[in-house]
Amino acid sequence: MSRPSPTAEAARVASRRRLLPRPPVTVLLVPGLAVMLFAFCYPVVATLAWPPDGDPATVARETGSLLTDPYLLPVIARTVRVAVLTTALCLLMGFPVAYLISRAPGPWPGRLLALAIFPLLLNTVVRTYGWIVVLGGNGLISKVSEALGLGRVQLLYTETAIVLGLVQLFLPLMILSAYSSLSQQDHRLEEAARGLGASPGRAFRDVVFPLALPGALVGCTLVFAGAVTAFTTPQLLGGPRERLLSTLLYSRVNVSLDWPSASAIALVMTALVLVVGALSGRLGKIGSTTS
Amino acid sequence: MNRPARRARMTAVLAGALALATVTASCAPVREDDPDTLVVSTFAFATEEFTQVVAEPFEAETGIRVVLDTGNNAGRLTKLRINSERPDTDVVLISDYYAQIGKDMGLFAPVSSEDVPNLDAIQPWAVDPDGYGPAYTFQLLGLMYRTDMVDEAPESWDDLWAEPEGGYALPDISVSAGPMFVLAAGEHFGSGPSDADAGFEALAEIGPDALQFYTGSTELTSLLERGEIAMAPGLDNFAMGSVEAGQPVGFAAPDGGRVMTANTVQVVEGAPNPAGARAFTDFLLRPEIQEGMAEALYDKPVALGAEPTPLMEQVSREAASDPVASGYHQGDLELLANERSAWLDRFTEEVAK
Repeated sequence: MSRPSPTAEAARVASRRRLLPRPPVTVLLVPGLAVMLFAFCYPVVATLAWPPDGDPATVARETGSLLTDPYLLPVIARTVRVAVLTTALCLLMGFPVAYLISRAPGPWPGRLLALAIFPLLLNTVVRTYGWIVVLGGNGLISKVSEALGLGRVQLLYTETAIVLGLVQLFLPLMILSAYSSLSQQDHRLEEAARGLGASPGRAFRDVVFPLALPGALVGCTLVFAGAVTAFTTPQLLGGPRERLLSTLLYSRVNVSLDWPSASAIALVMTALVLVVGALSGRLGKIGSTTS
Repeated sequence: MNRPARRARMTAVLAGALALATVTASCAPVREDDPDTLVVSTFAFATEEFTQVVAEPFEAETGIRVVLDTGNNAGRLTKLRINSERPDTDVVLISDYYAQIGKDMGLFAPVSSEDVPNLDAIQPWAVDPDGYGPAYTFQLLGLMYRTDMVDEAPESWDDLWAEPEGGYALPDISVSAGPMFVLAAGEHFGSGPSDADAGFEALAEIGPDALQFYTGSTELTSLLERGEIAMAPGLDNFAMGSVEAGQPVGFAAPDGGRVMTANTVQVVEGAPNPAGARAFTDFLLRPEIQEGMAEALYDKPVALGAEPTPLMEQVSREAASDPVASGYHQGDLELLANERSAWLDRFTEEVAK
């Protein structure tokens, strides 16, 4: 019996490999998917559609009344307003920081990035209590205002306080997301634009920003989603008077034990985040085709 | 079998095993007829003290292993409701308002002095009128105030409605003091504690000028200790830590509209260890255990043979030992339980504007 030539054997192995549907990679997805399915997807669907003492019809009815209740519509509007403001401020403050970090020389990007994300290492409650000390009627801002003869200032328990707290909470997320895009840019593109006569502002507007748009949009989506769903900061800095959807949901679950209504609120929050995520994706596509 | 195929199969087996391990690792065996273990659902604060004063002595005496499941009232009640077909919890320490909701849902089992003999040795009001678990401690609603910011200690709810200089806070409807405050206002300004319309109307008068509607005891004590407010309705237990620490904080029981809340101990319907649950209920009502809880947890005793601590007598005065004789009552718990959604909406719409 003649042995197959090495070339024929190699071709046979190669063709068999092509026939195999790469099972190692797909099969390795199983543990993660199992966790997602049993520990995330199922509870989310069950909570949104089949809460205790409720069914999908009750949740649908509650969602309808939530969207038409004259007392609850301002809560939805306030939630969207706070989330949009937080996202816009994070983008305005975070993007330039990320840009400067990405252009810093030598070992500085790593060091500056560590400094920027340092607040993430602190507990949310600790950070929020810091704001209570600063914004209260006897706090730092009020004392400075009194010293300047402007009288006592009470910023705590206002919408402004919630936005300030959320911006501090989510700014590192925006910086990280924008930095991930900016650090991958070829700096020579900006230099080329400058060399061709573009002003620094125009080079930033026409070259740097469009190329970093995907990262900035990811940051905006994360910050918006975080601001809509955040609970501790709005609860401590806003209180019941400045109720948001997250704090309203807490009341429905913890006070009235009205689970169908809580599910309806969770549904509205999820829809808000999904809509903004979809918008962000669409903007990203438009940006990539026009740049 | 060639090497790539063998490797693929090996990886598939490993991944499957990992997935199975991941899913099953989070599963615990279902408890059924388990006399050696007692799962106690209790409050999330001071669990170390609770373990030292209650759980460990109970374990030492009975040999039953105590497992604590901690959380807030609503979260733990929700868990009981979800697991009501096959409960894993034996006994629940829960406030009277949530206990009433649980009773209406059929989550709790009745107890009697045959299996809980200490039911005969507690203050009469602490025995449940429907035969469910008794109250084991109570908290009084009154006025907490900064002793250095008000000229005289408040004597009536009117002192709050006079809108004290230095500002005031009110309890949100989500904390125990919230619904109690509606009852107290109804009693003081209306025809009685069940006169919710009068209560909400009175609250609507002072709601707009309140600095904050606090949503936790720590938030209230923080507001007072930082001097952000001079007065707020609160529970006497909230004041004890501040008074003990020497802060300029006091507690005053108003002359009318005296409402209290109680923490109860409930045996879960269909519990895996019902005998252990009843033994634990009886243990919790013993005078020496009640006094230990008073020292460690600020829980005022209901056992007739137990004395409140000197701090409790300093803060809550004579009501610390006999609240009913001092004019305190729990209000209509069924009304509170039935109206909870309506009251939440009314509070949002009429008071916390």
